[in-house]
Amino acid sequence: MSKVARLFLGCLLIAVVFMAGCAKPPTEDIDAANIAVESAKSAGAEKYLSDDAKKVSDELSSAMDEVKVQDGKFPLFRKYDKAKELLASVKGSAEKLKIDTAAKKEEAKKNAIASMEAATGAIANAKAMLEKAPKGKETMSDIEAMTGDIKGLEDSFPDVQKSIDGEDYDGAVSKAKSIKERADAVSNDVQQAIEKVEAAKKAKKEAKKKKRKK
Amino acid sequence: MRFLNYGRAIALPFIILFFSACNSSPPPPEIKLLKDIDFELHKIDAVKYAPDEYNKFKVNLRVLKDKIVQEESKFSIFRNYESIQKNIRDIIADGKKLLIDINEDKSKRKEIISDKIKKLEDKARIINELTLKVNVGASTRKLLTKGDIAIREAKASIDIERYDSTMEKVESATALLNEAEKLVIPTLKRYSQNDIINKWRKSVRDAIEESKRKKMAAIVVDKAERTLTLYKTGKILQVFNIGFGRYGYRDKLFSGDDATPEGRYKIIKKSGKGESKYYKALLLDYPNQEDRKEFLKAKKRGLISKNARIGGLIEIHGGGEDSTTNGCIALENSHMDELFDKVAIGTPVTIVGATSIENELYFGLKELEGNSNLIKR
Repeated sequence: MSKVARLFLGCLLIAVVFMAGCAKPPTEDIDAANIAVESAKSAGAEKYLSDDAKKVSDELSSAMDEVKVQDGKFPLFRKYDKAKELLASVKGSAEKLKIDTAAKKEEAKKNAIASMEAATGAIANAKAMLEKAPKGKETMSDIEAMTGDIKGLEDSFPDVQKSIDGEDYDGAVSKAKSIKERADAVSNDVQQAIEKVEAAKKAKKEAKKKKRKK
Repeated sequence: MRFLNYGRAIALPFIILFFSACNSSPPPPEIKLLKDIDFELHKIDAVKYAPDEYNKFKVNLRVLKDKIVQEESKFSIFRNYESIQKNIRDIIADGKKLLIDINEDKSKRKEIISDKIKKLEDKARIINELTLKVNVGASTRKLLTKGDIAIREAKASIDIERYDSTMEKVESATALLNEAEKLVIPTLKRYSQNDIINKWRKSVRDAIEESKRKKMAAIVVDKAERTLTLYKTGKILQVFNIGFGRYGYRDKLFSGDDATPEGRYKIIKKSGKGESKYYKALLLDYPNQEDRKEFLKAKKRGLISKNARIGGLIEIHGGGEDSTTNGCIALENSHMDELFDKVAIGTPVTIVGATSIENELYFGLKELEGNSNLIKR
């Protein structure tokens, strides 16, 4: 064999050996990244951290594109190091996303429960105010109207718990806040009605006093 | 030397191939912009607002990425991004247009929904005012409260650009307020029909005429104005503010309906101080013949319970003009003093809903109908 032919074979051998090391597709890494992304999605990442979920999903897509780039190359020249790196990064991001989602979900649940408790308190306050309102012929209509208002609040309230049970925490917060606002408005109306009746009573008393003096 | 030259000539292509295979050249820089556009489309919920167009954009993006993958799989010296670059520019243009279209669509939606919410708020305000004036029962207030809660939720939803959820709340509020409206309208309608108003006016004219002819006192109660007018020989002597039945704007039909009767009555008993629970009282001859006829008709039609009774004991009494009664007419005690001495047993008392079409209930109905028409548009 001539020196030239030996050199040619030598180069070829070096290239084959060099390439062979990078040629295996990173199936395990792909599976691990996919599982991590799916797991984050199942935890509710798309609902609670939608933008982060999209970023991780795009990261996965880019990593898979890199795998495809290498798959498309002549077998001797395939190199999956970059793909592996990307897939490892996706896995890490997805795992972090899952943890963050759980924290966000817990925070949303806490918020919903706090809002529900605030609404409960506001309804109880409105009811207590109505109990305190002077009852008589002058206030009968107003009390009846406000009793109807409170019934409306109580009727709407179970929807908050339903939303919490269905893990619609934002919906629960919105409903609870609306109920609280309305309940506070009813309390305010009752307070105004009480003040109006008291003022009228006072005016009547003063008018009587004046009459007696005359 | 010669050997070395041959060796270099053979090794060079391998070296070039080796490095071109292992080094991937960067994708076209516009890809970054395309990714940003895709992310923006995700953020504005393109999948919800323009599903078909967004899907088309995503498919084109995927095809483009596949083409880039194909190019990147080639040895770098054979890569050609020229045709892809035109493709990228087209998809960027499509994405940008989609962003603009969706934002415009969302802004239009926001405007339309905000307008609907505003009209619903107006409707809730009108019904609230009417239910405070015309007591139509707690169930109407319950519906009104639930409607108000739905409106508040819709407002919170629109602030965070959740238009689907906002529309759900708007529809829920609309249904609840329509129910409440249905309960208010029957009472208001009686005060907005010319034939009924004309009948009431005739009753009042006849009462005044009789007072003039017989040179006697006559009482006219106008529910819409919430006044009791005392006539003497056909002329107004005094006008007093009154309180009346809990459901006083309705015509009394049976015992316990808390409505104030409408018709021509007479004072049949005068109860002085100490003889009435409400300072002084003038008992009316309710039910009269007309009332009995209406009562029997309603019973026959099944409009009231078979066990219902027609009731009685309708008085003009003291206790204050702010009073809500079970059907009686209430005056301030001082006004009762003034009235009591100027009337006698037999003094006619005419009670009507209104004497003019231009009454508050009519205006309330018109405002409510106007608002409902606006919402329907």
